Amino acid sequence: MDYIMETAGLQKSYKGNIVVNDVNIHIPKGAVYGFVGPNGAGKSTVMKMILNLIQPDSGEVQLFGEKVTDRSYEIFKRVGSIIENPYFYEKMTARQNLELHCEYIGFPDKERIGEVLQLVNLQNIEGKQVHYYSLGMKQRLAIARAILARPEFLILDEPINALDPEGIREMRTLFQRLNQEYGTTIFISSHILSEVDLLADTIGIVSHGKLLTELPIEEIHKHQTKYVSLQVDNITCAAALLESMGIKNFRVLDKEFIRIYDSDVSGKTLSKALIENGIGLESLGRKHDTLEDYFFQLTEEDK
Amino acid sequence: MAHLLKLELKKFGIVRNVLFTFAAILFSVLFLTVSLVDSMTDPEQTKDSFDSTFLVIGLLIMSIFLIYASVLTARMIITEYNQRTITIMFSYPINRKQLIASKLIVITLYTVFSMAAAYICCCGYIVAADKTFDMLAGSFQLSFLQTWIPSAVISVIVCAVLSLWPFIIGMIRKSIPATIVTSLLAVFLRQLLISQNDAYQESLIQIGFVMIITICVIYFTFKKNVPQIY
Repeated sequence: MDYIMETAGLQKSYKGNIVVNDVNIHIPKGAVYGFVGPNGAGKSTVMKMILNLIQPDSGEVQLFGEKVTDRSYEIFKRVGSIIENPYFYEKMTARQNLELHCEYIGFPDKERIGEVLQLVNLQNIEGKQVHYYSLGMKQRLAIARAILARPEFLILDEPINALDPEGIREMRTLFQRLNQEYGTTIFISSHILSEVDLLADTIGIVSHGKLLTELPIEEIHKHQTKYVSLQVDNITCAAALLESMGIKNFRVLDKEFIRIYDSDVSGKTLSKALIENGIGLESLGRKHDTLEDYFFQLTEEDK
Repeated sequence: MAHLLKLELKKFGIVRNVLFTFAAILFSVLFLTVSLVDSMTDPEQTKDSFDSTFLVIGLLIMSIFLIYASVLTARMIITEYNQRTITIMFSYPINRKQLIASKLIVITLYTVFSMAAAYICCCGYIVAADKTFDMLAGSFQLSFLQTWIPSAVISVIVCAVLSLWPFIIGMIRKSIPATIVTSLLAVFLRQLLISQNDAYQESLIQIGFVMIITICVIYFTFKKNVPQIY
């Protein structure tokens, strides 16, 4: 497969503490790769190593088929990035910051600045010093800077942090457009698993510095368990009733909730049986595991 | 590299710093005026000589511009590390060492030109002031320039080299106070060093020694501290 970025045996430790442990990531060209993991799992460290902001203790990063070394800076012409927080020259305006970016990266099309500011909805306040921007506005500006020079590969470390729900939706649409219309490969880390679920086509889950899994999102969806969730007022009676109905594959979660994993059980039959036996039914719904469930299942196993 | 220098000059803010040079020269002229008027009007004091006034000019210019060079180093380099804007700079398709080197070149060139301008203005001022108000003992002779010009050139070169030390020390822990304090120490040590010599300037051996040490340490700073962000 044609990978735009891959790492091999990436390892990093600080003061004997291993923060990245034998990480092998493979990002296919044109993919949206969601990189998820708890705080301190090593996501940002991996991203910094890809950009050669941190040198790995061992292992290597291949970007566009070229090994990243101290001398491979030309390669970064094809990469846009946001790492950690959105950093700017605070006394400059948004436009001045983007103009400076164009000059350093060697991108001559200054008209593109207006376009990207419009894409992130900052067109009316571009003349304001960045110092006066809220964190959400800075985040939008950082996204504008990352996509300004039409990079082939975008590295986005928590890009939707500090954005409001509307902003999150706008940025999701923007990333999807960049990926679908311009073929931009996106490597995105986020704590908001539901967003990654909506955006990414490949998922990498990292915990304690180790990459636990890396697979297409369809694979995760394929293995997601479907179940019927019941909320009742008498859990003991409800459990006994289910057994008497021949339903064996269910789990009592707490004092109110039961999950039935037999997918062919009809909701109508269940509700009728519960009511006939005098068991109060608060709610009944057919659900399936989310990326969040899958994530917790994996990270719990890792503990 | 030329493109990088152009960009760094843009960020440097030429107008703002040229204004600072003018202000520093004006301050030096005022300082000299007060000192000369005082020695001229106080019956208990003798008038200052051209040579002693030239030494005062040297001390003033060195102190002002060495300290200011450290302020520029802190503003243009150390702050980039502290405020992490360097992560943006280092993600550009630019040789990172050249990027920092271009910043240092801008600071050093500014220090050199500002010191040269300050020497010319201050020396010109004392010559003109003496001619008009007879403020100094004796009168100006063209032969003075044979001592003044080499002395000023050496002072400018030494200060340009010393202006790199705030960068060297400041980069160890990316510390602004360390950067500024190093420049104060450099002023103090240089003054201590030249006061030992009769000519009130460094010998060629001393200059060579300082240059070699500075080049070696700068090399290691670029190798070890420049790429280190976190």
